[in-house]
Amino acid sequence: MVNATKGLFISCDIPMAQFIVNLNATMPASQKFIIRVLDSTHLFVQPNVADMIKNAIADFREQNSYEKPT
Amino acid sequence: MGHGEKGRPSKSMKPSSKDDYRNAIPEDEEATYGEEIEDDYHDGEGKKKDFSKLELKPDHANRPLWACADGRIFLETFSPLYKQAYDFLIAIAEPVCRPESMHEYNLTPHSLYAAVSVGLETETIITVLSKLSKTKLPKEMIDFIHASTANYGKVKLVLKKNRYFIESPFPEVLKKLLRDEVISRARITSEAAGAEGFTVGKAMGEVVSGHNELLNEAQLAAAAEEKETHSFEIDPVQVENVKQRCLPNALNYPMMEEYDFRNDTVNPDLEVELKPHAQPRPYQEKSLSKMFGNGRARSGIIVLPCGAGKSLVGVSAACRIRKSCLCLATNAVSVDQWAFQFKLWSTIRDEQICRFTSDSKERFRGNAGVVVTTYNMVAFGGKRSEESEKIIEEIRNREWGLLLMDEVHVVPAHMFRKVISLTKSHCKLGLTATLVREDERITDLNFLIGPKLYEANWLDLVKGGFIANVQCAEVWCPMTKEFFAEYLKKENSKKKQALYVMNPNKFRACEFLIRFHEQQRGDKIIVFADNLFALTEYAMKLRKPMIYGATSHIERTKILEAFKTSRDVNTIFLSKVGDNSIDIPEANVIIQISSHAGSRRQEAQRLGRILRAKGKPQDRMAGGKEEYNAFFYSLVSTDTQEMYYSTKRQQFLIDQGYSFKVITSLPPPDSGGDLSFHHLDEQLALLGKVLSAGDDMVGLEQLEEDADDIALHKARRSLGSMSAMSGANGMVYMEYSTGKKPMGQGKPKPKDPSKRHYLFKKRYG
Amino acid sequence: MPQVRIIARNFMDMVAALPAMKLDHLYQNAFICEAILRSLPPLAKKYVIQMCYIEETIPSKSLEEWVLPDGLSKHRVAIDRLLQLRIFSESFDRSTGTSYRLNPTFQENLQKLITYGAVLPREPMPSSVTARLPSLQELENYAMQKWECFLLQLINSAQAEKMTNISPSMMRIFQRGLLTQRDKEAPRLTESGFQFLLMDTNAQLWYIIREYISNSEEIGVDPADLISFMLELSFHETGQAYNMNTLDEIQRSTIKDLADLGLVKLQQGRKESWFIPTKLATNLSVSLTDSSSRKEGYVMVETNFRLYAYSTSKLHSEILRLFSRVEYQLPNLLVGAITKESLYNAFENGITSEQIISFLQQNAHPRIAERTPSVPENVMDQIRLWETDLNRIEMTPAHFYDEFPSRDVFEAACDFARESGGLLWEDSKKMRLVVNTEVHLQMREHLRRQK
Repeated sequence: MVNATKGLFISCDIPMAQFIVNLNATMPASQKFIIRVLDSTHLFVQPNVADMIKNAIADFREQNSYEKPT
Repeated sequence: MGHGEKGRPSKSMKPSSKDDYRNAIPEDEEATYGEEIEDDYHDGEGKKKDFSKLELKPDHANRPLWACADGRIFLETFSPLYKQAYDFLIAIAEPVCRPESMHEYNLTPHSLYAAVSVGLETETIITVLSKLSKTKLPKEMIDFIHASTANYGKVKLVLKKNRYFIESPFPEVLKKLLRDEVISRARITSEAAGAEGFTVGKAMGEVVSGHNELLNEAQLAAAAEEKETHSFEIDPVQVENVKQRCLPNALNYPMMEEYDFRNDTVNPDLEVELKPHAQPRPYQEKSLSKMFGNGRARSGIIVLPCGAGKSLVGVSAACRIRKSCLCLATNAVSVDQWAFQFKLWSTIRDEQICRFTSDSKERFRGNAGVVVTTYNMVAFGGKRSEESEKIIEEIRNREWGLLLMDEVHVVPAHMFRKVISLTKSHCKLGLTATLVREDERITDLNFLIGPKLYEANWLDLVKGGFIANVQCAEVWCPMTKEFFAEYLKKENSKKKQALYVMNPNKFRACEFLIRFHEQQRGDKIIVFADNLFALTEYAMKLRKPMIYGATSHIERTKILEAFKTSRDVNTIFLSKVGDNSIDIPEANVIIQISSHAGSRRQEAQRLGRILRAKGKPQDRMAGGKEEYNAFFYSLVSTDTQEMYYSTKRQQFLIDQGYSFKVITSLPPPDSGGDLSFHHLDEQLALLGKVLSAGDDMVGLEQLEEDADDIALHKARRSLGSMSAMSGANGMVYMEYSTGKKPMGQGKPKPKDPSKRHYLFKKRYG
Repeated sequence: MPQVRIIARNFMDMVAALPAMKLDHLYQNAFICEAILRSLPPLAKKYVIQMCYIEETIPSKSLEEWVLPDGLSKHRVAIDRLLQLRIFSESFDRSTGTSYRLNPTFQENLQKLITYGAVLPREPMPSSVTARLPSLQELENYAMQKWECFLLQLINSAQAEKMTNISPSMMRIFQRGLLTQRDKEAPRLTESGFQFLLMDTNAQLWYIIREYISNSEEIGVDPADLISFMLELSFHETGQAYNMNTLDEIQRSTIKDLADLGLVKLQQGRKESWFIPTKLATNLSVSLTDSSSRKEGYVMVETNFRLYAYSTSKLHSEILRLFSRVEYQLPNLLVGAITKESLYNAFENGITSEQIISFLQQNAHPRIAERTPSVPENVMDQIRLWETDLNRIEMTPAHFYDEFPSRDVFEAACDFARESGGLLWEDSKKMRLVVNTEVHLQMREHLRRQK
């Protein structure tokens, strides 16, 4: 019987996919959100983690960017 | 005041008491000086400064600058008055940024101190600034200039017969100084003291220079032919402390140090002059004119971009003063070069100049001469050989006419203080390409050496064809999946740098660039890496020579010679040693594969390696054959901390007007097997090597002298691990499935690269 | 620059959408014909002029011969446009195939235009009545001031603290797309609103006029009349006074609204009152396809991302604040910086990097406008790169399907999903796929039916 799982489909580049995989790995077991790693540029995750992922990416990006102080 | 709706006094503009003044450091960008308009509903954004109520003059279009009450000055470079305005502004203000069309400067007490030191009077400053300004000068600025400069020029530091005196026509000022603890402790009381304990004497007659209204003598000392001066003596060892106490951020009576070399009958002359073929360029002349403006020699710092010819400036200064000169360089190679430069540009004879390094212990013959040595040799505190000891004694005991200091931005402050306290000199000239230091001890240089005398504009020098027009580029190298996965892992935090430096995509980009420039253009390439692990891996894999800290002097010379002359050696790899004065005039491409912790000075200095202008001037102009004939690549792994550091490092160059083009398509996607690390197993093998190398092995090369390095590295210094020897030869089992492919059987033979289009082909027209 | 063409085309679309009779009626006005002719794509213009004195039908094949093979797509666009505007009528004959004929009314007026020029329905008033008219410069200043004021109202009404007095008709126009309208909340600029602010003045004008006409349509005014009047207005002479009594009631009310925008200036004499068209009005017809801005540029961007704007206008300050951080305001200069933060702010409001770059290029200060590129390359590149950085991941609510009993079922499901436009990902080896949640229910139905 065909199985259907509800979630969030993520399409991105290789480094971002890797980042999300790593993010998942650092989560405690109860909060792991990756349902399936589809391939190197696509992931299938829990439906409610969109904001969490977006924020994590934004923070990561902040860390890697230098803004000249005013 | 024009727009005083809120009537809030600007903090730094009223030094009513010395405490107020000390608290209000104008460089502090937190303070807001401008008024916010009442209906400005963008309060949340913070410091927008509204100076819109300033009165524009009717002919404002003809005037080149705006001056704001908070000290900020904007200068239009396309104004017909640009040249004069630039020379004036660089003398009175600190440059903030100087790109092509609009410059920004900051007026600070320090910059005004520098202005007065080169002979600008308060009223002149205000008049000229007013003339050049599009608006009526804000009252705050006028007050600020008055307040800042009120005390300048009242106190002088004089060296007479190996003794130091503080001199002033105003005994009250001296008394004030002596109320300071540091100064009073430094004082040496003499028996011949007058009523108030001061020695009273006569000032020497002043030399009036006629040619330029902007170059008058220090305001107060000039008045009478022979003025009475009061003075007291201080302990030579305490001199810099005393000078520091007098700076604008403390007592605010900064001391003038001028050397009247023409009338110095005590110290023997050095018979030397510039050779006829030594033709100083306009900016070199200008910098010297600031130093010798009134016929005396002023101490201070001259800032010129690397490759712009600071040696000629140094040698010229020595030739004008014509007294014994002590020249300090950062390392032995540099010593050789300075000696060479002296002989090249001046009539100095071999017996008048000598070098003092661990290898050469020469002495000059006669009463006067030039000694070239390193900071280290002079500051060294340990036991010396007998011969060295004698030479040091002589250096210490001689009253030097000129102390010529090279690369003052590199030397750690403590070494400076030592050198300066151990030697006595009438005039100190510091040469540097950048006034930027990460340890923020620039103010130290102000009292240790003197104020900034002149700073050349990089872009102007490029336009004039004096330094090369460099195309700067940041090459973005995406991390490979496996490298990035490891980079993200918490347990690899110490290896982060190694991982982003050894990113195979970065390697490929580097390899591609080297090949392109060597084969398509016949360029000479230097690759910088301050990560030794990376340096070694790259150099060995690409089979290029490398120089690092431990490379012997002989080996270095051999490699550099080959690089200069041989057609087969076109690329060399340098560690941080390459940053200091190793002179490689013929390189025109630089590739940075490891950006160490964001040192802006280092970035500028590396760029300097290729700034020496080559080729015919007309070719180098815009539109000429070789508009860009020098290339500076910074290879950066994306999505890593390297991006942060790279941007930070570039700030200085960006402020000088350089722009970094971002290249995202190197190497070309179809390069495939042409370049190394194309196959996954090669990449994984490399990854294994990186991960298993000891933490201390994959860190930065530590060279003692680099103060910037120490300052930036403090937080990041890792405690070296003693283990890390297991499996260090790269044969480590990694838990990646590499599929069924057999281990690579050696690299496929690289094909000749097909015609690649010129990387920086113009996009337009 | 695509933006303007879209807007202008929208206006023309409005024209083209008029019912046939109305359109034909419009073509009785020579000025309208001229304006519409100007708005056509270049090829279409050429065809019309070429066919101007030809009374018969021309087979489409002949027309096609006029074009080189790689111009065929442009040819189709031109023909479509002409048909849409009913300038060309199409006929089909078994033997000769499709052929076209120029609209007779249009043609007649075009010929008259060429031969005699056109006469406006109203003459300028004699100076004896109008006394001193404003000079062209004064008029221009007036127009710019009014227009800026209008735009500022738009921005201010999005800032709750500043309640200004906007005419209700203007407010309605704003709320048609530029401002959100939610009952309990303060109005806010929409994505279109932000983009609108960065557009070229002519593009902005056309947008407002189009909205104005649509608005009027909703209250019962015939759009054809308004369109006709607008186009006619653009052929008046700048600076001349035209008597208000030559206008009908609707036109008079329109003129009053247009005065708020700065398109005309209203003046009152002792007995008469008149309107004076400004450049904003007379530029309208020219700008139907002409996208170049004739304003003088004022913005300079440096390689270090600092921004200098030679302007004192509050409007300019507000516009620059959309994507940069303004730091200093001097009597004739605004100083700011384009930072990642200020750009992200803009991106989050719906402004794109291309719009920002376009804006900077179009408004480049004359000093640097001759440089190519007028905006430093590294700044443009970096703005685009920052934008890309924001869009690196795409997230779609979806369903994951696996454990298909057979390959056939799997492939059928794939096809179904694909045809419904909801297939996001598939792995045929492992027989798995991901479908958009919107399509999921249908998918489920499909699978049930399979059994």
